[in-house]
Amino acid sequence: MSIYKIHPGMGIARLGNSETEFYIAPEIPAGLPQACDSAGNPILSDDLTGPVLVKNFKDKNGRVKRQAARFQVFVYDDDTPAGRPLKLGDPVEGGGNRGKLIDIQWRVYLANKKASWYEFNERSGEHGYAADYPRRNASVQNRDRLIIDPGPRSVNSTNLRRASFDRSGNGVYATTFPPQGLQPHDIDTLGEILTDDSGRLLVLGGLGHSGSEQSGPGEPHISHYANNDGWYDDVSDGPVMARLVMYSDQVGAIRYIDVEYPAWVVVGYPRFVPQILDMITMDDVLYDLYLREFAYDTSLYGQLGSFDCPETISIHDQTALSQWQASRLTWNKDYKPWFYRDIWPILFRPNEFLYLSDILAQSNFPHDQEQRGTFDPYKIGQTPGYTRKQMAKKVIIDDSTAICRDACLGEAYIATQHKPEDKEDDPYGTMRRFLFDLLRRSGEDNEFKLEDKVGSRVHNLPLMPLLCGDNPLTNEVVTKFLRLTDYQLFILKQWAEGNFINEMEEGWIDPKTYPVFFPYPTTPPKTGRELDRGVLSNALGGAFCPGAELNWIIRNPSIYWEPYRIKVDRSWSDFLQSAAQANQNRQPTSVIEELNFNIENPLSQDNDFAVGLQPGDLTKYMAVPWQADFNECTTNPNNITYADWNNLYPGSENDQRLKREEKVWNTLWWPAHRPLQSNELIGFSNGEPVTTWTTWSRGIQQTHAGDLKMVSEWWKLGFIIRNPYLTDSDTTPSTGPDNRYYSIERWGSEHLVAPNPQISSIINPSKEP
Amino acid sequence: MSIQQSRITRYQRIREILNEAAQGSHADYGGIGQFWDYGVQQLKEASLYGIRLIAPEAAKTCCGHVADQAGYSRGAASALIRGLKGESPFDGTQFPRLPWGGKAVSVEDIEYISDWIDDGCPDDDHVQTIELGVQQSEAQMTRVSVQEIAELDLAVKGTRIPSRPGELRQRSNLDCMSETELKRLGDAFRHLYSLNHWPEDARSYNNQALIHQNHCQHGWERFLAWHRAYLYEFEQDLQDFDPDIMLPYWDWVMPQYRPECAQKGWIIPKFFQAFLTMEQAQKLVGELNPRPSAEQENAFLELARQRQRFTSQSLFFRYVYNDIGYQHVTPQPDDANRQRMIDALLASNPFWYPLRFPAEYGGKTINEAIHYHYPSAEDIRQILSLNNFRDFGGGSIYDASFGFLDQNPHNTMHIWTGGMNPYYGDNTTYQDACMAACHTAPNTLGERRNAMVRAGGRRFHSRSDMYSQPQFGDMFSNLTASYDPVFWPIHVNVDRLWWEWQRLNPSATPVELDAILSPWNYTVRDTLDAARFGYEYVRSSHFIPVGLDGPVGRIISKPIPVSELIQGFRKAEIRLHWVPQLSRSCFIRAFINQAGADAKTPLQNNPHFAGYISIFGHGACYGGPGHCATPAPRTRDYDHRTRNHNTPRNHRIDVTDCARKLLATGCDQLQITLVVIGADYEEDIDLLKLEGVSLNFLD
Repeated sequence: MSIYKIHPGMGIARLGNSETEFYIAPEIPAGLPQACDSAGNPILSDDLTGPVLVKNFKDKNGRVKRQAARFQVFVYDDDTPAGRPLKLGDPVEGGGNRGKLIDIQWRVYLANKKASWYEFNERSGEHGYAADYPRRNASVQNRDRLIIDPGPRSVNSTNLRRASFDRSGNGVYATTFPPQGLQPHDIDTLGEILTDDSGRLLVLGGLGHSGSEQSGPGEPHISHYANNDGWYDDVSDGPVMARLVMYSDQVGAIRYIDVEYPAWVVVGYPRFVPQILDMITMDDVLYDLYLREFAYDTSLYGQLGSFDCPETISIHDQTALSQWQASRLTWNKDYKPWFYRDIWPILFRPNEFLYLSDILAQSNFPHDQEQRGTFDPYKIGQTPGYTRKQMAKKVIIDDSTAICRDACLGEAYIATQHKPEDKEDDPYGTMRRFLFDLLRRSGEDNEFKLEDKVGSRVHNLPLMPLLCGDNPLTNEVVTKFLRLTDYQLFILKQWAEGNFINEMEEGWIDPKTYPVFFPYPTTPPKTGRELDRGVLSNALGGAFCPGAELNWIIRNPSIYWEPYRIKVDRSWSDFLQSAAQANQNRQPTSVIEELNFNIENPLSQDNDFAVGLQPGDLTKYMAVPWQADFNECTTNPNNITYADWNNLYPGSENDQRLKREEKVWNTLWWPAHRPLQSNELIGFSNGEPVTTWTTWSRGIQQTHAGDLKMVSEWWKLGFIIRNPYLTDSDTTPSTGPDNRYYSIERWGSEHLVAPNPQISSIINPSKEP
Repeated sequence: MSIQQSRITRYQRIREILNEAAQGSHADYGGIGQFWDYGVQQLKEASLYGIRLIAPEAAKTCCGHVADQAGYSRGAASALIRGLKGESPFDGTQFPRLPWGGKAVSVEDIEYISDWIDDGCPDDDHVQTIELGVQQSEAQMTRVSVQEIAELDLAVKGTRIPSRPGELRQRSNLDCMSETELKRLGDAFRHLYSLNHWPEDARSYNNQALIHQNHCQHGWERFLAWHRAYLYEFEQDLQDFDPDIMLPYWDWVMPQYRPECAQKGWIIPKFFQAFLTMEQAQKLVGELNPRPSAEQENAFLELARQRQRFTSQSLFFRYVYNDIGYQHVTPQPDDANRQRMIDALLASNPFWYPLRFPAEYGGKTINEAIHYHYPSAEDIRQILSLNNFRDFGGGSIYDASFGFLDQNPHNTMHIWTGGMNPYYGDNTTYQDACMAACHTAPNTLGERRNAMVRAGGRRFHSRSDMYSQPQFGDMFSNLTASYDPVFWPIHVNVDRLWWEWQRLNPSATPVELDAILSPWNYTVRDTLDAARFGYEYVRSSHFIPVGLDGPVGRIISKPIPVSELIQGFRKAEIRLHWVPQLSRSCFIRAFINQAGADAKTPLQNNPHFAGYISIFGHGACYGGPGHCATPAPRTRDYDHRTRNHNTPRNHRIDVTDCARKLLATGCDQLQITLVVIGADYEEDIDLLKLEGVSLNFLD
């Protein structure tokens, strides 16, 4: 039996103020977006093997192109249990009918609930809101009018290929939009949807318009990074549903069947640095969550003693899942991460932030991969005993595993076991353990450095990652610094202790061709799951204050139907008539019948996780307008005086000592989503780019007045790309402030982008050394 | 026995296989290198990242028993074999498939290596082919003498098991029921037909059918809930006449209906087809005018003798006219001979209904005429896989959408059994050559089926109505559908599918749970739990009465015939009914087709061992007289206390695997042996009491 699923389960569209031009979201980690024509068809490379990647992020008028979230239907059957893309013309079956796929109908419902939702105050609300918790626009009585509700839209791949989420309601829906006359920008649409020639869906978000309905002297004004009464923006999110239309030869008629479950689209702001990943991506967060909460891979995380024969727990069997969660769960101590697949991409990431901020350079390149050697992959990737093993490839009587059944078996310990060191056998073990010991563990979220480890090499050194946490701002539920996920820490511990595999040593990858310094997959995803994860790897996974695309709500297991699929209130997501009803009505051709209206209630002001999410329920947590938070999220002066407190008030008691002792660390937020500085292209010399190191958002201050400027200036900022003129960039590590990345297309300098024949070969790293 | 010896050992051959597959890869295998190259001893001990490549010799359990659970193979358990096959952890998550950097080893070669491991990884054997002569290896059967135990008889089908309070009753598969059971059901139907003489009597068949005509819900979420209540109410109406009656279901997708070309299958269940009993045939030939010739008369009687069946009156009359050759009959409603024949068919079979033209669409198939197709098992699987109530059972009031179950197969089965009357209109003869002119089905038949049947002005189940020649069968429209008794098994099957689906989707419900289902006072919520209405579904159930008079040691049933129709069940289970608390703990072992089984009968590798249950003993009573007495089957009025702790229990033993395997070997009957084993692992013949044992086949 065939099952049909939409992938990605969560797609990411991005705002842009170009009304006409757009590109397709990257589907691999740190990938450039894919170029497409005006109908959304991807442009293929000359040899037709892959997509052409985007070179220009702005249209000819200098406006930012929108990023389309692309959705497609995958079929899962006996032949392809991991799924394969479904194509028009393929045989399909379902609901007791079978036939040839002649059309795919899509239904999308976008909304923006920001103005009616609760105020965003750091972590407050992560586990529910108190009854008196303040709402945004608390003085507005008619709460429904605060929700931007353009209604659902449907398209197909034949006669209705495009639809707009605009104020008009397409003639069939009474929309709710903010009043016209917002300052500085009106909001008349949340985006549009269209189908490409293969029947895939593209969702385009809003135009980046934000405005306030407040008028009078001093308006519009912004007074907070996340909550501003009177303001709206055109960010949105909502469910994506698909219906397969088949022609059944058996009965000579058209039949319909819906896919298994809806997907979800989230609209975020532009990804100005598409090729540098955040320290923790949304994929990292969700993978870790699903491992721990949904028994996603019980050979990695499961019941103590079950790893030889891992359990299979159905996510939809609540009893079995609860039973599993109540058992003694632990990480599989025998699991061996792969160095280049699993470990190196984590260690590699922070060094790239030196192209986005002064701070790393000013700190003398702490993540340097060559000269200092601390991060040299050829050293820290070497497995213990490698040299010895090379010497004598003989066997193999390893009794140590048998006697290693120690008392801590299965405990969720995280401290490294410092085994007696054998410098000859494991020359780089000390380096691995040093790096691991520097990592911030669970419970150390508020620690700047560990000052109680006398005698330790990491005593008094700052813990890593040294980035802002979910709440470095207020005294309520303080989380000053970011820490890696449990899964990341687990595999790094395995690595630190020498329990890992080096794929080069094993001959699984070729050292001559493997792009060590671009350590992410470069081939398009083949399965639906790879697509889910590839898309999410380009979204931010922390800190969530509130974040970039989405906030801490994505850590809540209650919002998922299964891994990578949001639990949906299907009375909002599904076609207004059932597929069986469409069969009953039997039209001679494929038509989208939206005859009935099931909308008894308006979009809700509240959550009902038992039923599922409604349009707008994910982005409503984010800042309004988004530009305010985006502008301010460069650095934060984290107060590190006391672990439990962000704000101290020495003045109230005239505490001179406390005033003197107060310490602050200016901490980066997420430079890959919001750069501070960058190289900027200023011209060409002898066919080589000439760049200068400068502030990325010049003239926009880190003030509320700057936030207001950002509302109108964001689209003028440059996009930072990997230097396409570097030919050997894959094989040499970066050692300093070179021009490996630089900013292009800043407003007024678009002409500097010269066509470059090599561009695609660099971005898809060549397999030749 | 002859042995051909070849030059190389099996180990050498394995090295060849692995080296060829490795294709010169430099894979290091965590430092052990090409582990297969260093001799058998090293290979046996080789450990790849802590995983032994060759599983140790059969593991011993803590008690020293060899863990030879069925199917255990040292080869299959070895990491080397799993790795070559690409099984976890060699599925790419932790490690790639073996050999690393090379190509996959063929299935045959993996099997060869696995066999070698199973044989203990011999070092010095040679590749050899052994031809075994035919060997008489009859094992010595050491029989323990068993005290004579009579085989217990099956309850006659149709005499229902006594049902105890709280015990669900079984709605079973129509095609697996006995003549006796159907006879009782038919009598109950006839009783309701007879009440039609009193038009005001709510119990009459017509008044029951009128409820459907006036209130039936379909095309939205009330469909399933309303019909569950309707079926229950009708079943109660039948039980007023015969308390043992349960409505059967018609599982349309069973092989005899040939869903892939259903017009060539049974079309409708045999019990619902037209046939003549001998009594009616004899009466009929006397009533026909002119009287049939002797030869024709004999042919009529032969029809009855052979119990020849016809799916519709049209086929019956054409047979009479063209095959028997009795031509004094026309399709005219006022034709007296036709009327007598219809009378005889109705008298012969209470489930036959003349206004029913299954699978007849003016010479076309249902696919061609209606653009619907007869449901297949695969269709049902797809529908059962739907994950929300709207798609499965229909949408709510703001979204009055069909569910898949309602739309097709339910609608289809109405259209299938209703059919189009080929003798509607101006047809004047049953002559084959003048076969009814094709009344081309209008293209809109499928969705407008309710507009197609005339309901007004009819006197249902009156003779004049039964003689009429309408354009469509009554099942075609929901206004008339339930006047045809085939309505019931179709809808019971729809209800069964919902019941199945509810178990897969326990929290998926209609939206409006508080809605009233007129004309009764049930709400939708009331219908969600079928157990409230006291029934479950089984394909077929066979009860063996035992009786509570005294303890039984070993229970051996008479062989239970298992027809082809019963085979293909999803689950088979033995149930022990109404077992009072036992004083001592015991195991009850179930064997099938091993009448002599006893405490010594081996369990392992015994295809007749079907399963066991353990029952905890209650222990000695510490109370006064009556404290541990078995309570009365029914509590007194106003005794609302919780159930007595000594209420007898029912127990189940899942015997699916054993039953299926035995039936697959060609046997067509199953004989149950239950052996009661005490704590000393000997038979305990003075312990178990029970009312009866049943063997149940579930769909």
